[in-house]
Amino acid sequence: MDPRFRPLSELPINIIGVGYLGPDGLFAQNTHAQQDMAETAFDVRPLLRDRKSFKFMAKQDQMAVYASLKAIENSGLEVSDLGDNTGLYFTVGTIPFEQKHLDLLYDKSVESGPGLNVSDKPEHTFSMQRFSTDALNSLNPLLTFKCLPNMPVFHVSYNLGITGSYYVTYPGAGQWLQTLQRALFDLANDKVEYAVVGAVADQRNPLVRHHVQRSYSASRDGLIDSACVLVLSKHRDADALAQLDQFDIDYSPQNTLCQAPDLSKEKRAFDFVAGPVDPSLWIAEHLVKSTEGRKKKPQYMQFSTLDGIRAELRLNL
Amino acid sequence: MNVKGMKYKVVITGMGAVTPIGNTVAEFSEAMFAGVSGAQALTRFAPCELSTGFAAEVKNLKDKYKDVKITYAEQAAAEAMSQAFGTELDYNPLRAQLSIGIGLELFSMPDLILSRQADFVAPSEHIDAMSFLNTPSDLCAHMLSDAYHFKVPPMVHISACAASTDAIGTAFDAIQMGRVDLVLAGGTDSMINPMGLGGFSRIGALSTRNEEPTLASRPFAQDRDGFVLGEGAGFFVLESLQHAQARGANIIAEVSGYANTLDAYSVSDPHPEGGGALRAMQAALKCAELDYKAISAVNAHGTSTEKNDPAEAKALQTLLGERVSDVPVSSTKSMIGHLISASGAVESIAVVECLRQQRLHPTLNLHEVAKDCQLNHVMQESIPFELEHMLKNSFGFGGKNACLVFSVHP
Repeated sequence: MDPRFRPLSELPINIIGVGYLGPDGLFAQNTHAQQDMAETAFDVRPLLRDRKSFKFMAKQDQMAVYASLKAIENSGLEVSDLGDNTGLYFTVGTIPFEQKHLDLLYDKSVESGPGLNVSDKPEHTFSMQRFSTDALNSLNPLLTFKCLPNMPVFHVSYNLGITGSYYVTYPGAGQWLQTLQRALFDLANDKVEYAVVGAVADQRNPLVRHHVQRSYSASRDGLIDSACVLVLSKHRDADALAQLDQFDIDYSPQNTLCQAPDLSKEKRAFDFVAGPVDPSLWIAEHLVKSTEGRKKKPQYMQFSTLDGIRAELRLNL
Repeated sequence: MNVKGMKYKVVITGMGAVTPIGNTVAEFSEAMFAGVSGAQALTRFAPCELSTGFAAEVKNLKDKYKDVKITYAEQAAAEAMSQAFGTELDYNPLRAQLSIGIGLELFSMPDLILSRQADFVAPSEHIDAMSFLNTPSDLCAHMLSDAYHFKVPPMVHISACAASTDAIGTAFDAIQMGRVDLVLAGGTDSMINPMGLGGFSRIGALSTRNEEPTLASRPFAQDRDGFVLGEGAGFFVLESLQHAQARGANIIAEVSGYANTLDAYSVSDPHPEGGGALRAMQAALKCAELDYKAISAVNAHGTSTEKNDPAEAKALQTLLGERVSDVPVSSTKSMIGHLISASGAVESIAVVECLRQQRLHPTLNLHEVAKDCQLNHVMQESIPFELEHMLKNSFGFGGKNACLVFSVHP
């Protein structure tokens, strides 16, 4: 046996399609240094297989479906080409929760009732009695479906007709690497013919901002909502956008709540801006520039994630 | 990578469990074969006006962390690693990994009230964050990886009720193909909190048999009315046969097959014909190089809900064909409730205990089988049974189907 873990020996793998979604100027120079990008604007409704399903969709579900449909379109595949032969591999960002729902839960679950000025009433506490009546009865039951991090995979599978293998994880860029690895594994072992590898993060909301600051002492500003999906195939394809021909991973486990990771010496640190979407946005950026004729030479990426995973990846454009 | 395409046999050398009916594998196994229910009126918080006021809680375990699923995971993992290795962790950390199915973090309502008053300002010291809102789910993965010095990045699965079955399955794949020597694989979850119980109540998924909690979980029964929420953790130490033999480990059983599929059908309901479930079972058997004739028994997903049980029954009827009246089926959820992301792991431990003891546990509270759930159910009492290969099903919200095959080790 090899003396140590090697994530892959099945490379190269072809990238045949890419779809992404983010704020305007996503791939502009120094994007990641910008502090407060715009909202990500899009409308997935005209693209849905069944428009009634929209009511079940959280923002991250919508973004995942939008980017996936764009990626399949970009690959030249038809939805009818997909089914058991296609696997779905997704990384989802930290669970989002909209401000209006937090407000409602708060107002209808505090002991003294709605409309209080919280700064003047720090002693107020949670009331299970009010939560079990006022709060729950005010919430749309569909909200339950919108809180689940595994739902983007359902909505993508439903809209693309994908019924093969799956892998769904969260919440950071490190886990996206595991997602990519699983997709490559399934392709190499002929479990699937095509792998749809995605990441999605709805981050411009109070719960995610809070989580980022709590875990990493990071700025709560500058987070973006984004999604990116790659379509991979083992088939030799002259029209492939690129080949992934190197992929190595190293890992030193970290308890981020007890030790803030020091990324100051790293060439590039992910997770803060686009969460789990960041590595695939890097790939998408180079694919786009390659398509536009601006970059044709191999691109090499070396990076560390906040949870102690280091990776090296090479893209042959 | 493996040598010349050879696949490594995957064996179990350690197990650990924290469940509503026992906080070790031995306790769980004894209660399971005795047909004990872990459901009772809620003790963790007052349900007030929630339509469901009971659950299958873990008992007699001191919470080390505010997020109890980390406590459960630590304890179950420690038991599994201790059984496999004793006090000496005898493996190469560069070829050892964690694979975990875990529940969502969301937030706790009391913490929301407290933190909202502070405008979501995080604690000044990182360590304080452990007692704040629920913890990020991947944190548990990194804590366990750190505790056992694993240097291969963890696989963190969030495929809902199929999550820990996927965790065990992907661990099986990684060992079988020679990528790693050892994986600590399983899952942990607890949604017994106001948001968890409230959310499931709100969509009508839970049993409301408040007057008789121990009778509430009744998979495949005509009068079932929803699932009972449970909590806990289960972990396996999985190794390649060569690795286990080289260090003289005691081999408990084998994992011999795994597959997963998507329904692409409905956000909440399974495919009514169990189409995706059937494909997953067939693919898991193919992976194990077995066919339906080799299955000794089935540990069902068996939730006790209106739509899941008939869909699974339909899929099993199609899979088993003429053997449907011969192959026994039982649901562990009848005793421990639905452990959500941890269900597949704990129920897989039930399977291995069945293989080990050549005995099948009952589906508790199943007296009158629903017309559309006709299978060879093990009802009321455990039975001795000759077992060689058992199929384990787990089906998650949003049409995720994961199946494992476990086998006795000769």
